[in-house]
Amino acid sequence: MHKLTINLEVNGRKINKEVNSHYRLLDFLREDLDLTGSKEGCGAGECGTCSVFVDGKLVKSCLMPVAKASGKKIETVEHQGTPDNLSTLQKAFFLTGASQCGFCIPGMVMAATSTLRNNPKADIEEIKEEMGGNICRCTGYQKIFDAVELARDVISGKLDPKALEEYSKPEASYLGANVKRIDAPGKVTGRLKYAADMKMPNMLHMQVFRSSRPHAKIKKLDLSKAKAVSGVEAIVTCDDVPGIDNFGVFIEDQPVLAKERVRYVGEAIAAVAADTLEAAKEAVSKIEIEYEDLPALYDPEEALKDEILIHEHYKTNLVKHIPIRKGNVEEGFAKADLIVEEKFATQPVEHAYLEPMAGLSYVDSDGTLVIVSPSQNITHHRHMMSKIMDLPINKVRFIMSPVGGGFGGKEDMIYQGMLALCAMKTRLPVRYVMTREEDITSTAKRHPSRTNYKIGITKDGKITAVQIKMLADGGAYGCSTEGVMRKAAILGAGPYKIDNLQMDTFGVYTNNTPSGAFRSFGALQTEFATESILDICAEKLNMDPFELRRKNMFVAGDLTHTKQELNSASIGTVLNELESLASWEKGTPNSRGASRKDLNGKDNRDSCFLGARLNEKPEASGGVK
Amino acid sequence: MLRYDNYFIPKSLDEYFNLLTEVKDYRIVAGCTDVLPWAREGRAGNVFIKNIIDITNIKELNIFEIHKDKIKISATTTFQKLFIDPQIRKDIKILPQVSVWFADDQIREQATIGGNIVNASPAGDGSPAFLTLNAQAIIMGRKGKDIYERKISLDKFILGRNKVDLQGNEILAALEMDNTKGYGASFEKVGHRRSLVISTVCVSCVARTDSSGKLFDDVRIAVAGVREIPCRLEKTEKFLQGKEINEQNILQASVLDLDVINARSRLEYRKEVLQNFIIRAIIKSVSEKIIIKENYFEKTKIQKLEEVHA
Amino acid sequence: MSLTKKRGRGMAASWYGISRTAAMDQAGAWAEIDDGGTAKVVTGVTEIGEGILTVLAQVAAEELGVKPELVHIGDNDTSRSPEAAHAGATRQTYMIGNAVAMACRDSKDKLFNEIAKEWNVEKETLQAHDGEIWANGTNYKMPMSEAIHICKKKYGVIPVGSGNYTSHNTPLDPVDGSGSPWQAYVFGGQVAEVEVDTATGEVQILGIWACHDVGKAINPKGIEGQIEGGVVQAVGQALMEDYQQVEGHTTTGSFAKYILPTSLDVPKVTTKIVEDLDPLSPLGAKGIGEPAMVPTCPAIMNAIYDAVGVRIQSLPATPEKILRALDEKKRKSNGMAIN
Ligand SMILES: Cc1cc2nc3c(=O)[nH]c(=O)nc-3n(C[C@H](O)[C@H](O)[C@H](O)COP(=O)(O)OP(=O)(O)OC[C@H]3O[C@@H](n4cnc5c(N)ncnc54)[C@H](O)[C@@H]3O)c2cc1C
Ligand code: FES
Ligand code: FES
Repeated sequence: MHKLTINLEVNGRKINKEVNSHYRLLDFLREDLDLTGSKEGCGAGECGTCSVFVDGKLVKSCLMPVAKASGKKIETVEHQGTPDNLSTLQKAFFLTGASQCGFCIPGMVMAATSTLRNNPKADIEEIKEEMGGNICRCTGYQKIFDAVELARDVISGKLDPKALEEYSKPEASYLGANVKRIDAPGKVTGRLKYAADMKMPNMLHMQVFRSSRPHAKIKKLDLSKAKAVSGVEAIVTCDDVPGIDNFGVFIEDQPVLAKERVRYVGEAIAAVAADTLEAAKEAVSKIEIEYEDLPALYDPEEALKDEILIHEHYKTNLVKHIPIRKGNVEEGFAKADLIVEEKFATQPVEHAYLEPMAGLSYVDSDGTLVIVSPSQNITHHRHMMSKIMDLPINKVRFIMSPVGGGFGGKEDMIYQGMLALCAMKTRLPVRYVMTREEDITSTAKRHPSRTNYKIGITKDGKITAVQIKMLADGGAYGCSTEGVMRKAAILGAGPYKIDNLQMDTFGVYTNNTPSGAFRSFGALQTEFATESILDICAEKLNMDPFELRRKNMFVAGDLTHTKQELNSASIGTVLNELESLASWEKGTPNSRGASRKDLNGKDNRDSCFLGARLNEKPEASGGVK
Repeated sequence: MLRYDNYFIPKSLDEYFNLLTEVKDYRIVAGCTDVLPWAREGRAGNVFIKNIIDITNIKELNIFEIHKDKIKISATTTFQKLFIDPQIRKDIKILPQVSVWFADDQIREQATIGGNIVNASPAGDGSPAFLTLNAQAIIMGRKGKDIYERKISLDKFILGRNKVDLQGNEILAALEMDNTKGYGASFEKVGHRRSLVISTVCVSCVARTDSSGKLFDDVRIAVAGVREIPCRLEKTEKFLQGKEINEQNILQASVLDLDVINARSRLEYRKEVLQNFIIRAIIKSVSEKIIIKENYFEKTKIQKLEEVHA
Repeated sequence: MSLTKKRGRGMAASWYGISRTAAMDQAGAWAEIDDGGTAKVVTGVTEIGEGILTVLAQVAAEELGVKPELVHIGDNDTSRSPEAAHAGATRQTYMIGNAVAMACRDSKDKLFNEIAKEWNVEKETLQAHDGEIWANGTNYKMPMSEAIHICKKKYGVIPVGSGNYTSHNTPLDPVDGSGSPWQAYVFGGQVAEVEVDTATGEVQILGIWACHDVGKAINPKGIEGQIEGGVVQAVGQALMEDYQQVEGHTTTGSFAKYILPTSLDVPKVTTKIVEDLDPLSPLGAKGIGEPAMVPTCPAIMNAIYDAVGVRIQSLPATPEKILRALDEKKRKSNGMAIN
């Protein structure tokens, strides 16, 4: 690899060093200096996890070749404070609870620092604009804004620095107290190590060769040129799996690496472990493959016809159907004064946890296979892994590293099998870090759904019958589809007493990216339909939407849709509290926005225009000769 | 991943042109904010270019001149400079306005105007603003031992998607643009969010009225996002010249150039937004006082067009 | 021009089940009151951002009578820590919180056995809080650090506790779906206020009012954080996020194409917590992680309808969809055919 010599100052330390010439400043900080507080969330300037100061200006270090940084002064999050000596801003982040998974937080601290350096009096609009290049997937930004405003007021002297320490110690009980997050100091200072931040001696780097076809037979896989690349230690394929090569959360339908067939674009086919990332990438580019394309399915309706089969041995594309039956819907609809039928659809959604998938695997001195990864379900993963590797469970050890956001996306096992195969084959530690692009295109999504909805309701707003059919695209492998269908079915009709219910959810295979676990797991899709159609009904019945819901809501003792007796049901309290919290003006939901009186209250943010830092609002720039 | 063996940072034009005679496989970079994201999966993928030549330290390209009628700024000027420079903020209002909508504060510290123009993305935000300032591209090259300079108007310089009129060893050195002191300005942009947003439609407008404040004196509007190459709206501009500032004239003007749209997708959407943006941008640039009657926006697209043509 | 900007409000309600669905759910934990009046808790848990470590520290502090900052929580390691199963299904506080409470009670009980001997009092009179231990109705009181020293050095006992919590969820009947999939349910509701720009179709969410039952709120600020974050994820789903494929090939394969909400796209969220304690579990806490985002999308769509009279039934409500729907609506009301 070509090298160049750079001279620079990092966090006050003068450094003169030979580096890989193609390194970006971010690579240099992370790989050569172990300053892993700067993270790589996207590598393309789109997320801000890599923000650092270069000669006092905040930039995204993933977009700066290291050569450009030569001669400059670099300041990273590690320079802002230490867990026992936090900066004012870091203290404010700590106090407000601004860090959740923490992956965006070092970048956020840097962006906030820059904002207040540029203008110690920055108002909230300026703060939002200046931090607009840093994405947070966990917090909704609110506590981050709170932290920056708090720090600003302390720095400007408006607030006593004691405001940063404030922490009301509970008299009687710690339960119910706002105890400050114990994980925050390590996060706001960038000290916490996520999987991609970890290194081991003699560690290899893994890269994955993936399918470019949605549905095809693998006719030939030629690894010879890839194996010849210098630095390559091992290449693994499905042939290297010692045990049972099928895993999954509910249905064991997935091979560690594609076997004979690929079922979606991005499916892993082979994995290379090499002594450098560059060698591993090069080897992947030299793998040769021949496909025989098969007819493919992209539409779940089509999939239901079973004309093309994604997993032939199942003889059907139906992954799971969950039925729920209560009462008699025909009778229920007959009693209705109003019947509404509508269709709803939701899109596939990416988890977009800011920490891309990453893991480290090695074999311990006693032969135990160890996998360190931010998996949300290591208990189950070790069961699957012991079968795959044909090892007793006590010889498989999973360590869950800090998770930089999961939202269900790190629940299904994805890359751990390949890592383990490489570690077993080479007996060396192997690390794998996905790029953002690889992560988006190859990992599971929220199930896209189509829902047909029919509801019967009386004049005075009592639901008499509901019939729901939801079809969801599960993509190429089963993953969590079964569970998602179940939750969608159980909860879909909402917190309402419905005597006559017919609910069916269907998940099917297609050749799309697999769908999997995602925060709110199916309930989001079906409850969206229910809550939309209830407002349609409310308009037709000329009834306030809260009122309509109150007429039908569960009370303690009611039977749920699955005929479970509820020992308690707080929905009544919740609706009352919500109505007063929002100062809701009662009325029919008939597009009355223009005339309502409850708008523009103090709990709204201002409508956002850009240019908070321009002297004049863009609205008022009228020019005269 | 972008890989290269050598990263050169020439300090003078001579050094730069000498380098070009020595190395074969090379790519010029400035802020790298287009080049690095381009060399990733889903786009160019893994790219190897033997030599990277960074032009941001060439001393002759350190130009930032604001004169009474014209301004001249080097191609390596960053968008953040356009955002924060007090003189620019005061006199050439369109530049800070486009900058605030451009990427984010951090990218703007790196992203150069030259890179934005030469990259020539149909969704690029810089060029329409520069077009409203009648920008001239100043290009430098070297023939034998002689460094030459040529000037070409920006609309002629941009030839197509990712294509500009640079020959051989030529480099975009600077832009020369009108100082629009006294003009109002407005930049309108819509995408799917409000920061780090790629334009679906963007409109730049600079304008001023006559001294009475009643008539349009000079209105310049340019668009991007809706076609391969950004362009000025000539019919609209001409129509407004000298006309009274009123609702009817603005509405009539707003439909004259809608056929500039030649985007491949979302045509209907782009058309409707473009018209609305033209109206909005003109009003913001000349006067806040014009009110478009609410019921105008209640009408359908077709009705709107029919009404103003009638 | 602000004439093109219209505001409106909408609401939606929701409910959700806590812990694994329709299957037995269980979690285990170990706890030990340690030297210096500190504590060690080991269970199968790693922070994924939800604040679980802090919640567990609070639970342990409460149950053991030590200070939360003196609780150390061990790593989640399948070979070294008790099984607590997966980090999902809104089960962390409910399942692991209760398992830790049970383990701490066990540990404290062991300490109290010895201290009761030491002071010659009934065990039932002993209490511990915030690093101190005392016997009610007496003058006996000492720091936890001393108590643990006595327990170990004088009585030879290390107060190691273990605990387990089970949620007896039952499978669904395959034909009619009947069953008790969860022990605990939570309910929620949200109001959204939006501004729709009819010139561009852009929607800005200005405010969300979120009211959620979480059972016992162990760390209210953490719950607020979960709600704010959940709401904003749902704002993404409601307005802009859309993973797209063309014939199986992803066309939104980077953050430049897969659009997430930034700091300029998010509403102010006002939260109200309702505490309807779970009657079946020791702590009474339920959960909030997933339920936080369930009502947001429909509340937003209902608000858009309120503002401009178009109902988006296929997410996300992109600017383009809004303008198209507006145009169709106008055509309909003008008696024109919809093309
Ligand atoms: C997260 C993100 C957000 C963005 N947002 C926006 C946005 O909102 N609006 C927008 O318009 N763009 C945006 N961009 C694109 C990019 O930042 C701009 O196009 C930027 O101005 C490019 O300038 P640069 O100096 O970084 O170019 P480089 O990447 O250094 O170069 C781009 C191209 O121009 C050539 N080049 C550069 N300078 C010269 C020169 N002087 N003479 C000849 N050739 C030259 C290079 O060879 C290369 O081909 C965004 C990019 C990112 C990563
Ligand atoms: S912006 Fe640099 S890693 Fe995302
Ligand atoms: S805390 Fe911001 S991404 Fe997790």
